[in-house]
Amino acid sequence: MRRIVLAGLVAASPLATADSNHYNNMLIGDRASGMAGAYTSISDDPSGLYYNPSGIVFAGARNFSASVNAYHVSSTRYKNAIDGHEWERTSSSLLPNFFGVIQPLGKGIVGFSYAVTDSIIEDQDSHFTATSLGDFYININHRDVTNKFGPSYAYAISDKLSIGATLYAHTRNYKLIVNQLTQDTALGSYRLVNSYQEASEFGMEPVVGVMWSPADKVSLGLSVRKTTITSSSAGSQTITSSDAAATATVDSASDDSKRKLPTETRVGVAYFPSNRLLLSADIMHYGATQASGDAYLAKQAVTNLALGMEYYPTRSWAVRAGLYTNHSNTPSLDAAKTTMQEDHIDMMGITLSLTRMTRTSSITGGIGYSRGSGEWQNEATMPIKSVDADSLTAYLSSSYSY
Amino acid sequence: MRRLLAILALTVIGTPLSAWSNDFRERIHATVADTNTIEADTIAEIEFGREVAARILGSNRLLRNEEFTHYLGLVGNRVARNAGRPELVWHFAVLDTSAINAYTAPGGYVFVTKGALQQMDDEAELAAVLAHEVAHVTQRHIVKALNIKGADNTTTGSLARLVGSVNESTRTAFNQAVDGAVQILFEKGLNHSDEFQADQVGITLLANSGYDPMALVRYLSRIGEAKSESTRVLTMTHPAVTQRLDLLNTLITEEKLADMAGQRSRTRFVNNLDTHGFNSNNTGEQP
Amino acid sequence: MNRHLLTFLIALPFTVSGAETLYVQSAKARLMEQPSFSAPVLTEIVKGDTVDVEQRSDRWIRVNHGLVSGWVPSLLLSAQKPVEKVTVLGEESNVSGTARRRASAVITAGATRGLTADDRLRLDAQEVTNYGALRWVENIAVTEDQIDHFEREGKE
Repeated sequence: MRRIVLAGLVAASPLATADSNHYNNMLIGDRASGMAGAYTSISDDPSGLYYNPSGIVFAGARNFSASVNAYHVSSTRYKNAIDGHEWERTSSSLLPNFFGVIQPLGKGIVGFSYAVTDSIIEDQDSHFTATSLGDFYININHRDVTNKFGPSYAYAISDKLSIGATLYAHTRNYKLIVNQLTQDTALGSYRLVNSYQEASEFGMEPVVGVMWSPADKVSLGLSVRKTTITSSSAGSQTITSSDAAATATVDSASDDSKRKLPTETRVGVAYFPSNRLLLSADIMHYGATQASGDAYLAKQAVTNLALGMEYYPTRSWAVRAGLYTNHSNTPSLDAAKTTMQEDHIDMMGITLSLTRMTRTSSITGGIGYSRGSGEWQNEATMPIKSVDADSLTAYLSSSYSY
Repeated sequence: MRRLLAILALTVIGTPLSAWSNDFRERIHATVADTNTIEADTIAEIEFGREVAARILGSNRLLRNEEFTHYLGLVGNRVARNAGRPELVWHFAVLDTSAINAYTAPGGYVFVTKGALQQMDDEAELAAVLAHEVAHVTQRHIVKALNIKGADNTTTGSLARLVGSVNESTRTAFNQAVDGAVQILFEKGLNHSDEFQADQVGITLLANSGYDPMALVRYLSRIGEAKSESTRVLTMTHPAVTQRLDLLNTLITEEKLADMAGQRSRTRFVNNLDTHGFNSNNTGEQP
Repeated sequence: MNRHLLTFLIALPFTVSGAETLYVQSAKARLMEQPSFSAPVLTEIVKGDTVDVEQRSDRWIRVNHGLVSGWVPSLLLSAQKPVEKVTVLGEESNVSGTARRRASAVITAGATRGLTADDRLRLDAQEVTNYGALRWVENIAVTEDQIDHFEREGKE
């Protein structure tokens, strides 16, 4: 009985499905989310702890906290997956995905924040009948969450220049359970594959940032970060049974290789033409990374862009909007290649939020939507097909100064 | 490449201080307040200021002379009513110490020491010192430094606290802020640009109330030469007198303040000091 | 992002500013012919009067009040209407401290934001604060009329 192979479920190694192809999946921060994350040269509130910690010395209040609760859904639709049928994978999660607090300490400002930069929770079952191989059933339980948390400190060198740093602890937990059954009742044959994979990693991510105002109403920001995984463990167990064998086969694999994550450099510029309007732009560059063990493939360099805007039509209301890119770190698919190739989907997103302010607090409701299309391949040397994906985040956040 | 970085670094660090302020980051919700917010803020400021004032009076003895304090109040209010804080009720009093200094608590409480009074030559100089202190309150230097704001009891504020699940211990934060203010007044001093601003604003207040603006210059020059022990706290908490005088003289030249004919009211001032037993040490200049 | 959106965003800052009206905050303000205290006085306006901004220069603003245009120190003007005097009352009237008080917004603000009456008494006892002296200071009242009179008689 031939195997049906679906994207992302069988790869060069049972564990390579733990790899991740995008760096900008989740909007982070209260004010920053509405501005598509173009925040490196603003960062003057707790959201800044994530983007550019040096900005917090310019916060409007010295004691400040912010938190975000988000509902995040995403969907990827693989065209022509099986006998011309499309296969859709969806994920949805509801989570508090950011919290930050700052307060004065000594001559500078100290802060603490946590951010959930990736959250996938996928629970689904699909059923394809009467394919060329019979009936095909698949159910998936997939969880992949990345958390960062840690302290920050920033110091103003002058009223125009500041430096800051954040030290994040990075944790990631990944689990994938897939059950696949192919059976042809007419022929009386079947094949059942149950696969369990999990990976967890822990690392440190120092972030260093600087903020400079070269001219009135203009701010430039720069932050650099790199996550170094200090410990990692991944394992899998695959049980296969079919009518062709009297006993089931069990394949186990484990891999302790540490994923290599790129150096991320963010450069931003912000223009504050009036006390109602703010415009900003960020460029984020992620370096290329090497493969590690069997689980993690080499990744290409990625450059993402974000543009954001904030406008106050009245003293108590603010509207924020932005555009951003979320490009894939995998190479474009090449029909000539003979090894397995990963999905390549470049995404683009738009954000919009509405905030009600008082002088010391704010509540924001916002959405972010991203969409992209690309290519995928069931298995090495098989035809390259198209895939499209989108994701939606709806969030409610608040900030409070005291 | 390295040279380029060095030049960039020098450009960045060498950006002149205060060519423009960092206020451009402030968004409108923080700058423009409605009447209710002003009132809530002012209440918070006065509440806070009273605590600070009570501490000042705890560590320095109050000179309880009703008539002289009333005279002081007349001079002070004459200057203060030309400042931009019509919502405040101003209080002025004398501290019975030979140290030469003046203190302000937010919300409109101004104290001047007996030592300082004895260094003054005329009413304009007294007005000058009071004007500098009034300027600190007008410009909200202390409340800004400590971020004192009114309580936010609006629906939005309550909802924000609920969504954010922030637990605050307001009384602890408040106490720490009060200690911070006392520290600023007695040990650290406000930052120098605040002091220069208070001099600047003070001299404008003087001019606007009809007093001779040169009085501040005369007074500072005189105490710049005074005994070091009596000016210990003053020197610790303020920038050097020479620096202050330089900036003041620049301002006076720019605004042509020396040409203005302002009141000095020397006779009235000296009469008040003598009547209430201050025994002015000053031999006095010709008015 | 299409061109129209870009044009809109660029045009936005320029549409936000408009004619400005300011209020006089000080008891009185004089409109001067030049931005200087020794310039001729054109007219005198009082607290609450509105003026329209014509030009800004350093510490002075050229404004228009009725038919007169003149310079006023920027210190004396503000975008907010002058507010009535705010007083914080009724805190110390009962020195025994533990008596319940009428709940008012002011006292609630004071209680939640600051020391309670008990705290104050305790601090006074430790000689960290002196509220008795503060009350003495606050009881010395100075009226507008007295200040007016004082100003008029302020000759040598």
